[in-house]
Amino acid sequence: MKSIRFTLSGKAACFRQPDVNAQVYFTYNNIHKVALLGLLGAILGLSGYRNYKLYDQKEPDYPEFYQVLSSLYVAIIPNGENGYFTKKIQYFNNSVGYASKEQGGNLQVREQWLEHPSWTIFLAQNNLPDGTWDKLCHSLLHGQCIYIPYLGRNDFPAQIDAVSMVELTPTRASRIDSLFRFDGDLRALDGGGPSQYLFVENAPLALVRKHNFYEFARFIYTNGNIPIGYLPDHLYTDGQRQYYFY
Amino acid sequence: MKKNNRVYGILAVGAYMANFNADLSGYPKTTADNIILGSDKALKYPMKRMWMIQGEPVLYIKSMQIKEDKGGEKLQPRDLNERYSFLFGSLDEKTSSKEVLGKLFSAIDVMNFGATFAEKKQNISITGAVQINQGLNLYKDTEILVQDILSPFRNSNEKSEDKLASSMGTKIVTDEAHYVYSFSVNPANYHDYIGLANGFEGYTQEAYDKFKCAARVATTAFNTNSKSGCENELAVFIELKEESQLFLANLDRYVSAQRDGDHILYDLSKLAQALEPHYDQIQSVEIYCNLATIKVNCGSLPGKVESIY
Repeated sequence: MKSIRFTLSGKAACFRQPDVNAQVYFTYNNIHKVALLGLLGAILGLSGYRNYKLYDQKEPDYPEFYQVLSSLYVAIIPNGENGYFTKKIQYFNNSVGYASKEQGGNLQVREQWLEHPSWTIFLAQNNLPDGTWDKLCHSLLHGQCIYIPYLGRNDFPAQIDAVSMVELTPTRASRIDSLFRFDGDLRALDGGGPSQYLFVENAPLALVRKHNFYEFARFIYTNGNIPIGYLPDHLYTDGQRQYYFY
Repeated sequence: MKKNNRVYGILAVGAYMANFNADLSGYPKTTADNIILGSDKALKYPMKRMWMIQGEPVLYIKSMQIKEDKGGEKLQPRDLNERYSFLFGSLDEKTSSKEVLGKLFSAIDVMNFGATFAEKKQNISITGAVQINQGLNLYKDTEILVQDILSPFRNSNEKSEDKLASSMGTKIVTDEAHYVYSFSVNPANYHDYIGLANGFEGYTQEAYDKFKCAARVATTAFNTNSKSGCENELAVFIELKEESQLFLANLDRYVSAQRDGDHILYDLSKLAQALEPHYDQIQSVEIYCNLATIKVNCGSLPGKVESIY
């Protein structure tokens, strides 16, 4: 399977969790597939969540970037220690008076940021039309973009480095070096020795048609072994490590 | 005149015995590993103030009005609807989005930095052509100083009724910090709105020129208590050729700032190296600095250093 690999990083990132926003906007620890597709959509110049009424257009099932790119396969490998990135809650004061209906006109925003996040990303064509795939590879390999891709907030531009084409082959080894879906019993994971780590996060998997809510799945990242019966589908290797594509 | 080509660049701000961007505790904003940073808002605010003083329409800025209250007339900040109406005339449920969009783009801050506008059945979100990143303090020897200051008044609460001294406060400053921001200008962000908004033809050279001017001097010109002592030190504008879609991210990675005698030395030689493979797509490089206090090592960058003023 032909794949394109690159390092995605930045000074900071914030992939907001839509389900907790009462006092603080929290971020997922990792970029998820929907956000990654949005970023690739920006590179290709596809539109995102827009106000269709403004364009006298009917609300489509999905935003354009998702409609076009969701058949792409992605594998995401966090490059932080044990898959974890440092986070800090930043505080903003928005005193312009119209950011909200706060008393006194002062909106206080607390937002959690990932610091120095970095991921190795693999993309594989899967069912993406040839033309779109070739255009995407060309843009990545030559550092071109229509809109500036960013990591969750438009003041955090994404750095894309070390882009190359990689040939992958299917495997079924017991260790997975990328984030992967795991719905089984976490106690079934073993190995990794005294330095075993296990990172677990419920993260967006896909968009729900029409309403565009996130559909969630449990993703884990570990140096432990996964019993054969629990191994997910779509595992590929570049000869060194094994990655989960979804 | 329409502007079609992309621009990337660097804006650096020096803070001397000043606090360019404080967090809730009054200390300079920091990351988890204690690097001092300034937000994009901190840099945009003086620019908006400068435009406002020049008589340009600026939408997203705090402005006050007198409100009739039960307890008499009180000073109150305008809400978004009031600010919009103050600048552009009335806005009600029947106002068309096209009209609103056209009015929004006529404000210089919206034309450059974009807008989020949700009022009276409007739901408009414009990603600005100009995007400014977080600015990290690249100066290694920054110290944070906490100064006690004496208030002219006794504390008014009940506990202090018998106190014989006036109250104390603190002022927190950095002795010296150098915030380095990178920015991008992408006119393509507005292509979707051309023809949609009344009379709107996309990002303009005029708007860019106003941004460029404000980017060079607005912080220096701005003198509030905590920001006096903050000044624009360096501005680099890298204009791409019209057809280029080159993506450059976080150019501040390639900059360093250190003391060199009386001057601050900004080293751009790594930036020059990073840009070298892309010279065929670059139309021009302009470098401005405060010649009295700043030295710039341009490496192999084309273009000479000019005064920021």
